Formats: sequence, C-alpha cells, structure tokens
Amino acid sequence: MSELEPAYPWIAFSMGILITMLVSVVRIDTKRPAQIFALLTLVVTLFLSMSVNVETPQSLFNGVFEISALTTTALSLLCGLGIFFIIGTSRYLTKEEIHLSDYYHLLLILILGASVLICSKDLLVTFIALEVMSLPAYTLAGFRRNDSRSNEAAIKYFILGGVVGAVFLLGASFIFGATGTTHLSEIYTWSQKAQGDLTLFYMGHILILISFLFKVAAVPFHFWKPDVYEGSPTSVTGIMATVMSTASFVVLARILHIADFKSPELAPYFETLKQLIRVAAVLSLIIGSAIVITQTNLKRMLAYSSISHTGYVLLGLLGSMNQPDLIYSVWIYLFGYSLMTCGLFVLVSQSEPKLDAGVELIDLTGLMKKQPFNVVMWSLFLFSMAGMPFTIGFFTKYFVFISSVNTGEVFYVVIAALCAVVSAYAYLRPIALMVMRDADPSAAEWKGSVASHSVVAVSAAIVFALGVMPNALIHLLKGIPLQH
Amino acid sequence: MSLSLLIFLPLIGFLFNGFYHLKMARSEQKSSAMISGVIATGVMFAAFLVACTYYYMLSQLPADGRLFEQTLFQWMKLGGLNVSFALRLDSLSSLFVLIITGVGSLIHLYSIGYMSEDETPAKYFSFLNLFCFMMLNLVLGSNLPHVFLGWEGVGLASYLLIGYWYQDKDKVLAGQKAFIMNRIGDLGFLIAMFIAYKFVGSLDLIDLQKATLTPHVTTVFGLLIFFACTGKSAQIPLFTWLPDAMAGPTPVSALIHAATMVTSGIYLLTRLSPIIEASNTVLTVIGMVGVTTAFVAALMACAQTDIKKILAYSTISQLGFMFLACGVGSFESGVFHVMTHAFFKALLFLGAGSVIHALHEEQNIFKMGALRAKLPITSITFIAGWAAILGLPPFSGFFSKDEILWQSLSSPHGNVMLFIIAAASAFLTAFYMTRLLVLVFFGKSRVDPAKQKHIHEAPMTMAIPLMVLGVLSLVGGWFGEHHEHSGQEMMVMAASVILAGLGAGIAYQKYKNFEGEEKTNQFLMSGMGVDLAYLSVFAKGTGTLSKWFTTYVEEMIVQRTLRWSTAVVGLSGNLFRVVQVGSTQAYLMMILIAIVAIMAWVFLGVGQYGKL
Repeated sequence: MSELEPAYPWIAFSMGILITMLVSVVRIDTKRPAQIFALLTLVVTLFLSMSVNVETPQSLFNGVFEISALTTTALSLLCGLGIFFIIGTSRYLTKEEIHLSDYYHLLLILILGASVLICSKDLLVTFIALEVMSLPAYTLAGFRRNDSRSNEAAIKYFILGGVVGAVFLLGASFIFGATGTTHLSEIYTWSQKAQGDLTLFYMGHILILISFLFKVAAVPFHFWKPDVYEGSPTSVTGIMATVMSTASFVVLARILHIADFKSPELAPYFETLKQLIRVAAVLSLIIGSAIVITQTNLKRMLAYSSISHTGYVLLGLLGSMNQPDLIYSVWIYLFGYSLMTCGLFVLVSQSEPKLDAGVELIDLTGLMKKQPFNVVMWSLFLFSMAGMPFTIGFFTKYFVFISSVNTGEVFYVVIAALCAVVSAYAYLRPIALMVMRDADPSAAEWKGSVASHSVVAVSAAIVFALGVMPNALIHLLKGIPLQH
Repeated sequence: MSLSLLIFLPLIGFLFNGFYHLKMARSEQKSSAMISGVIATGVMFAAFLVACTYYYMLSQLPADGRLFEQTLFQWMKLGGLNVSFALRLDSLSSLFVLIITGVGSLIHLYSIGYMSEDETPAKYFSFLNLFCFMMLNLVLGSNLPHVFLGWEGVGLASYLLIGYWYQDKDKVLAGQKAFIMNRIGDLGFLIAMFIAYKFVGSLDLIDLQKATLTPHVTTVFGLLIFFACTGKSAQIPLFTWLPDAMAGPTPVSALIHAATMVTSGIYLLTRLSPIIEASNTVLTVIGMVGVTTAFVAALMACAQTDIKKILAYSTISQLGFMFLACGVGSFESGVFHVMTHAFFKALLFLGAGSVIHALHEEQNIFKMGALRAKLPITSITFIAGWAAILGLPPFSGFFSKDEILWQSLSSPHGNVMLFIIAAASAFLTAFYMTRLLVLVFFGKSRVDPAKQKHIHEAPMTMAIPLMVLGVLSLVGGWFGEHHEHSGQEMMVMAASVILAGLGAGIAYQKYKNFEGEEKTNQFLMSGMGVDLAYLSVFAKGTGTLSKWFTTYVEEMIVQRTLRWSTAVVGLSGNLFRVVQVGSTQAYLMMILIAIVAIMAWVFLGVGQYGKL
C-alpha cells in the first residue's frame, strides 16, 4: 500500500464524499449532518494534503496522476476555499430554500474533479476529471429551482459545456492520432523528435486549448459567463469563480507546455501560439474592463471582472511560455484572486433583495450607515480587485507585469495597466455608493450570520496580511515548477 | 537605569492621561486636574531626576568621552540607508534634557493650579506630556530622521496646545498658522536630509559632524537647515506665527513658545556646527538674520499692549540674539543663552499668567497697574525676571547676553555693525520690559473696577514654580564657564549695562504715572504688516494661481480629455455588450465562428508568421 501513500488525500476525499452521500440519504429530512460531514471531509483532506511529502514529485497509476508541490498546494487551496464557502454561505442556502443535503456531495464532487484535473497527466483522465468537475456545476447552477434565471443558467451552461467537452475530445483524438499516445509526458518526448507534417497535432492542440480557453472564459469564449454567474446561486458562482477557474488555469498551463516547443521543428507554431494567447489576453482585458463599468448587476459585474482577470492570468502564462520559471506569477495570481473573490462572493451572498430580484449595485447604497464593518470589508476586497497596494491584489498584478516586462512583452503590460485604470472605476463605484449615497428606497437588506462574517473577516485578514508581507507566499509559490 | 527612561516616562504620562481623558469623556464626566496633573508632573519630575543622574554620570567621564548611547530598535532599513532608533546623550543634549525636564516639571506643576477650572485637564496634560516626549526625542535622537520625528512631534503638540480652546475660532486659526509656518520650514529640513544622504551616505549625526563636503554642498545644506530653524525658532522670515501662538494657555507659552521648542533651532545648528561653521556664507546669513530679528522684534515689542504679545516678541528678539551668537561662530554662548533665557522667560510668562489669572483673563497692560501690593510673590519674582532679561549684574541674563554682545564684536566672524545693532536691541529690550513692569506692577491702578476686588495671589502650585524660577534667574548665569575678562570686554559689559539702565530709566520716566491708554504705532503693533504681505502675496497668489489652473488647465484640458476618454470607454463597453444577446444558439454560433476563425488564422497563413 505504501506506493499509494502520496494519494491518501485524494483517497480520503473520495471516501468522505461517499460517506457524505450516504449520510444525506439516511438523514434526508435534515441537511446539517451532510454539511458537517462535508466540512469534515474537507478539513481532513486539507491536513492530509499539507502533510504529503512532495520533495520529489511522484507519478501514480502508470504516470497519469501527478503528486507534486503543485498538486498538493492546489488541493489545499481548493479545500480551504470549499471550507470558506460552506461555512460562509450556509445562511444563504437556507434563505434561498436550497439548503438540501444533495448540495454538499455535489459540491464535494466538484472540488474533487477540480483537484484531479490539476493532477491529471493524461488527456483521457483530464477529460473525465473535467466532466466530474463540470456535471455537478451544471446541476448546482440550477439549484434555485423557482427562479427561471437559474434554470436558464443551468441549461445554457450544460449545453455550451457539453459542446466544448466534445471539442476537447476531438482535439484529444487528433493528438492521439498524431502521437499515438494520450499521456502528457509521452507527448513531450514525442515532440522532441517530431518531424514532418505536424498539422494534425497542431489542430488537436488548438482544439484542446480552445476548450480550456472556454473554461476560463477568455474572449471570444466568454459569452456564457455573465449569464451563468447571474443565474446560479451566489455560493455556486463563488465556487465557479475560484475552484473551477483555478483548476482550469492549471490545465491551461499544462496544455501550453505540452510539447518541447524549443525544438526548431515546432518553433514557428510556438510563435503563432504565443500570438494567439496575446490576442486572447488583450481581448479579455479590453472587453472585460470595458463592459464591467457598464454593469449594474453585482454578479454580472463580477463576471466581467473575472473575464478581465483572465486576461491578466493569460499574460502571466505568456510570460511563462517565454521563460518557464515565471509560472509562479500565475500561481500567485490564482491564489490571490481566489482569496479575494471568495470574500467578495460571501459578502454578495449576505444580501436579501426584495421580490427575488438580482443583487444590484443600488442595493449597496447607504450600507455605511447600516454596516460600517462590512463596508471596510467590501472596500478591502474591491481595492484588492483593483490592485491597490496593501492588498494581495497589488502583488498579483505586480508579478504578472514584472514577468511580462522581463520577457519583452512591454506593449501588453501597457494595455493591461490601462485596462486596470478603466476597471478601477468599476471597483471604486460600489464603494462610493456605499459611503457617499443614502440608502435607496429599493435597496436590499444585508444580513450575515456570524459564520459568514467570520469567513469574510478571515479572508480579508489574509488579503491584507499578504498585501503587506507577501514574502512567505512568494517564497512558497516560487518553488513550484510545472512538471513535464 | 537606562536612557530610554527619559523618553518613556513622559510617554507613560501621555498614555495615562490620554486614556483617562477618553474614559471620562465617554462617560461625560470631568477629569480631575489633580489626578492628571500630579501624574503628569510626577513623570516629568522623575525624568528630571534621571536627567540629573545622567548629568552627574556624564561629568564623571573623561572630557573627550562624554557620551551615553542606547539603541532601542532598528527603525528602517532601505537599501543603503540604515536608521536605528537610538538615544544619544552628550553634554549638549544633557543640558537641553535638564532644561526640558526641569523647567518642564515646574511648568507642569504650575499648570495644575492654572488649569484647575478647565473642562478637560487630562487632555491638556496628555498633550503637554506628548510635547515633552517629542522634545526629548528631538534632543536625544542619534540621527536626522529621529531628530525630525521630534521636530514634527513638537510641532504637532504645539498645534494641539495653541488650539487647545478649540471653540474659539481665532485660537484654532492661530494653531493652524503655527503648524503651516512650521511646515514651510520643515521643507528645508527634509531637503537638507536628502542632501545629507546623497553626499554623506549616512544620516547619523556623528557621521555628519565628521563629514567633509564640497563648499557648495555645505552652503546649501547649511542654508536649508537654517531655513528649517527659522520656522521652528520664529526668525525672519517665518516669525509671524509666534505672536499668534499666544492664544494657547499661558503655561504652554512658557514651556513651548519660550523655554524649549523654539530653541530647538539653536540645538540643531549647534549639533551640526562643524558643517555650519565650514561655510562663511551660512554664518553671515545666520548672523544677519539673527541680529535683524532681534532688533525688529524688540521694536515691535515696544508697540504691543497685550502682556503676552510683548513677551512673545521679546522671545523672538531673544532668539535672534541666540542666532546672532551662532552666526558669529560662538555656539556655546548661544546655548548658554538658551539656558538662562529658559529660566527667565519661563518665569516672565508664568508671572504674566499669574497676573492674567488674578485679573480674570485680562491681558491688556493698560488695564492693569499697581499690582505690586496685591500680588507680592508674582511681582518680586517678575522683577527678578526683568532684571535677568535686562542683563543687570548679577542676574543670569547679564552673563549670557554680554557674552553674545562681546562675541559679536570680537569673534572672527563678528563686526562692529552686528555689535551696534545688537546693543540697540538690548537698549530696546530694557525699554519695553521696563514699560511692561511699570505699567503692570507700579504706578496707578487702571484695573476695571468690577475686577478690582477679586484680585488674588496665585495658589501654591503656581507660586512655587515662580519662586524656583526666580532663584534660577538670579543664579543661573553662574553655571557658565568663566574666563578672564580683557579690558575691552569689561568696557563692552559696562556699555551694555549703561544702555540697559538708560532704556529702563526712559521707560520708567514715561510710564510711571501713565493714565488711560497709549496710542501705539499700528504698523509696529501689527508686526510691520508682514502678515498682511504674506496673505496678499502667498495666500492670494496661490489662490489666483489655483483659480487659473482650475479654469484653464483643469476644465479645458484635464476634464475635457477625461470626458472624451470616458465617453469612448463607455461607448465601447456598450458596443461590446451588443454581442451579449443571451441566446444559447447565438453563443454556440459564435463559439463555432471563433473556432473556425482561429483555425483559419493559424493554418491558412493569415497570421503574421505565415503558413505552417
């Protein structure tokens, strides 16, 4: 059994899911036990994943499952986010009458899928993990059954996701046709000796790339995001924005480093590929930041904001394509972005709009008089989104910019910086509404449980602490390479 | 025992009184002047005892090694700059520490009586303790940033105390004026600090003293430091805040605006004297500015009717004497005068405070008179202070002032012109001080009849500091270093005593039987219109300039550009939104189109890298 030892966190996670599922069947009348077992599962997994020895990366199951500093750190992050969301949005679920015990094992399966996705070194396993992650997400998106927007979001997400899954499979089969393997490290070895007409491989590669550009909602594959974000329950939107994006970005990084592009045979294609990423990054930045300032719905606004953040991460990935050790700027971005997004979505989930309307910006008016503490929290997260100093958001942008500048992508940094200025307007406007405007008559009430306030406070504390002393985090993430 | 006790004791007092005030204010109770005053005075007196011990320990060390140092923590480390938070006590700072804690504790004691009817005594004492904490940092700091911390800190405390009675708008404005004028001077300090770092590479005071700089750098550095000193020590051109600063409680005027804070300019110049002395230009400027200030301020003092304003201009004038001493390269006589001045000017202010207290906030000297009998202790001690500032032997002012007069004539940097102006200022000093003394304590009573019968001598807490300072004003001069006097020096001495006697005699003749109110020269009374000039040139000028910028630069260029760019961004945002139709079929179509477009771009050679 000792060779399975590094996989214990994942095994424990799966067993926890089974137990949670069983519990939810046995105690179908109440959701508390499922909630508690879900939390327990995540906590145990978190501790196990932190205790795995990853000094030397290991591969399991014929090398399709990678256990390394990257995958255990990511698993810890995902578990942490899961814990935050379960604690922070418990009251929200009750309020929306979707506090079902099913919710928890679906959530856990989603997180498991995401964590396996990160570990996967084989295209087929990637596909399975992708579906394991996505199917619960489609279901969860439709959990507000009485709201047509939620149903719409679920259907839309499912159809588009299904099509894109097919695109991925098509790409994977092309790659298999070209290389005779679906195994990432074998593809890498193959690419070092590859010669002749490689069009089939390139087509397959572009297709799987597109499918993950869709997953991270890079322009022009971003259409689904605002609708799905708006319709889904806020707690699920939060999971999508953090857990699913993080996992998808890690896979995207793997796809972009799938082959040895330094070999002269592949070099021209690599240049085209970089150009493609540049265009996607710039489009995501410009379109994301331009639309974000026109939004009045909070969740749609956060959706467009996440599209512009995708642009920054793509810039970081571009830097890592030029110089592989710069991948740490992507890790820092994902870590910081997940934290502040988590806090923001828990805050959004505290709203109680009248007449089942969405959460609008106008609902924030006059919050300063009602909940001054929460205004501080909002401001901190929004400042972090805008990239202000003394928040982790400053360093996430800073390292992406640095890695781009160091690899000669100065023009794109200038565009990104201009977009940051534009989107800062969108992030500062809610603060202005909270502080400077009196409450609008139609403004929603804001109520948070002690649990959700504490989650917000803890993530705010981390966002601030890392904004002041980022050294520990940078040191940790700098040492995480991408394995071939 | 450690050096840090010196700064921590006032800090403890500050924190105690601060929290005490907050606690009482929250429960809407009046804090007790006795409790807060005793704590505040106690910590200052304890600090004074510590200071005395260190003074003794310092005097036991060999003359060239008189230095105690204690590093508390590393303050900042940025690149090559390494600033530690360290206290350093040598003979110079030891003298200042003795003045601050000694005179400071007397004034704290005096304040207990003076502020007994105040609404928020704990707040007052916490500010006073904060001031002492900052002032001690100023003189004990081992590097320029640390001195700057104290420099700014005393400015803050001074601002808080001038505007202490904040319900009165004039007092608030006076506080702001003091703060702003000081900030102008601080600019000089900051730039000097940048220069020091650039050319010396260190901000440590000992490194700076040893540094050799090029003549130009030395001159610029010295002038900037001196500019900073003109702000803090109220010299031309930044002196106008000090008369207004009299809005604060009188003990504050005595401590901050006479004895300690305003002398920090002398401390800084003396501390950096190796650099200051290296440039003749700097010395000449300091000497000229000092002696001009001494003369002009003395002239203005002759025209004032407010007892505290007279003393304020007198302080400016005496500070001018100290700068004159620095300017002729005799820093030690400047520092000596700091000490004697601290004694007699604090005494005069506290005496004035006692008079004001007795007459229920009456400050006009033409509504006083014949108070000698009713305020015996105040009048006797006040006369001691008067004798000291006039420089009558054997009072303290005699030794220090004559030393300065002698140095202005005989030092290598001195000349006859400096001496003549300084002697004229000494004559004027005798005139306005005698005018003050005679009008307040002698002659006929011009007191408002309603207040006449309430006149009372100060309580013991106020009388004791007066008496102690009276004795110090008498004997303080004997602490100086004595040397053989040449014949010429004896003549200078005699001349200055005769001048002082002359000024006093004229004033006595003029005012001994004075009745009614004197019509004083409005131009001199208003500080020679300097305030007005600053207002119309700088304040109005800045206002006009900013209006111009608002109309032309801001409106025409910035706002217009901004409006256009926001319009473009907003428009593009709405444009991009058009594709966000919400229909799943449309989305699928667009994804398909995007895939086809990318494939075409990559494989059909549309991209810049050609066909693969």
